[in-house]
Amino acid sequence: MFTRSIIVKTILTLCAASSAVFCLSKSELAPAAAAFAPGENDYTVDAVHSSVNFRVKHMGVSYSYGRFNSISGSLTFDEKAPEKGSILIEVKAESIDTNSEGRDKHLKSPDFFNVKQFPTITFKSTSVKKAGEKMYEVTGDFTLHGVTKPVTFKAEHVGSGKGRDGGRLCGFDALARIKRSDFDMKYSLSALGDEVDLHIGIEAVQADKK
Amino acid sequence: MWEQLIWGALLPGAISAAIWAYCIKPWKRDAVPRAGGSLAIAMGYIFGHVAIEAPYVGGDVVAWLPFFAVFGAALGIIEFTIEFTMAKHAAAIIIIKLAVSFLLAFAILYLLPALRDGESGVFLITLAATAILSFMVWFAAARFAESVSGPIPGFYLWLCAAGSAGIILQSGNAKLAQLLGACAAGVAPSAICGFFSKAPLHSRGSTATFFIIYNSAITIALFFGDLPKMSAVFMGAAPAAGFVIFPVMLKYRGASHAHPRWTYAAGFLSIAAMLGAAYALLPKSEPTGY
Repeated sequence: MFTRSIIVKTILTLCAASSAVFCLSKSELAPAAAAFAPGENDYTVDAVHSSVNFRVKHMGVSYSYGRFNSISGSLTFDEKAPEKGSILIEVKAESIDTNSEGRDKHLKSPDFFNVKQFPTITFKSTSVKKAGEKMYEVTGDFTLHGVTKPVTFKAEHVGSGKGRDGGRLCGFDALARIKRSDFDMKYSLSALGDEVDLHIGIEAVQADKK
Repeated sequence: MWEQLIWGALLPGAISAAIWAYCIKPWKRDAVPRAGGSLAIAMGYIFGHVAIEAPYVGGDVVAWLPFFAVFGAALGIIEFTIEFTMAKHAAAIIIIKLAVSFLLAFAILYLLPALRDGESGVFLITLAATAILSFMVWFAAARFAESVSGPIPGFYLWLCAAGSAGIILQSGNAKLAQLLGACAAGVAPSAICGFFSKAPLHSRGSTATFFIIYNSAITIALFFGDLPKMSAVFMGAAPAAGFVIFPVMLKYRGASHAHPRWTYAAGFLSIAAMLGAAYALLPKSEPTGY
């Protein structure tokens, strides 16, 4: 009788704990109704004219290239006060494209990106430093495969100007090197290099003109 | 290649074999298994997992497997030590296995943002279906594995794990396949030790770790790795079908004690048929390959 009581209590506790965790996560996910009033220096990433590319060594003899086809984000940039700038980039891991359907499928699996569990790759800047004429060092939190680490991009301000609809445009070209093992992506390090070069091209449109 | 084989197969096999041998003490006459089977499979798997994956605790769903193995070992020992009357024991085992199946399915499915953040109803239905199927596989196969002596239960379990590892490898989940291979290596020594034990080697609780890892690996491959649904169902059905064939055929033949050799062959064929169907349902690879 006593043992049965313990078993029943254990099961009820497990069910209650599971339900509590489930409900809690639901409530946490409720979107906050944050009012956003874009300023003069706020831009939205133009997905059509932006790209996220990478290269990684294959068998130590060559580089294999790939890209992500789905990119979004926003940035704040004032050429007169670049240190006040910021950028948030979000990439859908599912959109990886290496020009091989079989390889893309494998890259999406838990062996590498595990896109079902970690659907997004993000970069959120924490500091911007001027590093030369039109050159900046953008440091931020890079989240890949569920792991967040600081990464610094060397970014070139390619240019600013007006778009066809009169809105302001600005563009950047950024490079960084990461180690995939730092992000717990350790499968097949002997065949595919640990170091991955990232090359991001951004074109952004003034936020209220988008 | 050799390194992978050593860490992924030989190491878990050796550790598991040592624990199995210690538990059944084959050098003594009339060896009787103790509550070490679940521990043997768990330790073999955990060492294999750490050796393959490097000692890190990540948030990746695959990184949960060694923790599931620890859970399985603890559960196996608890299951072995529960003392009830037969009726109460059976009810307690059903309740515990059902609760654990739900808990494990929840732990895995909760890591899927698309499912977790979607409709609650879809999540709950998926959870219930996954947990109940997992429970059915575990309960049916374990029940028969625990009642059959000799090397056959160990061989069947090894066949299921090794065959499923091959199928998961073909579905493009190499890491998961390698880890299921470590699980197969962990259970393989029980087939050899089975020759030395007169009582059923996979006694009460011994199969807990195996089925927790086996069912979890298939669930992960299904929801995270694009393993086709029906392939997962056939892989899940393989161990149950292999063991269920014994009593079904013996009842049909009117036998009650001995297990004729043809029933072993029938069990082997039923597992092979299930795994063959699972393999056949995999999408065909590209002509150019990858």
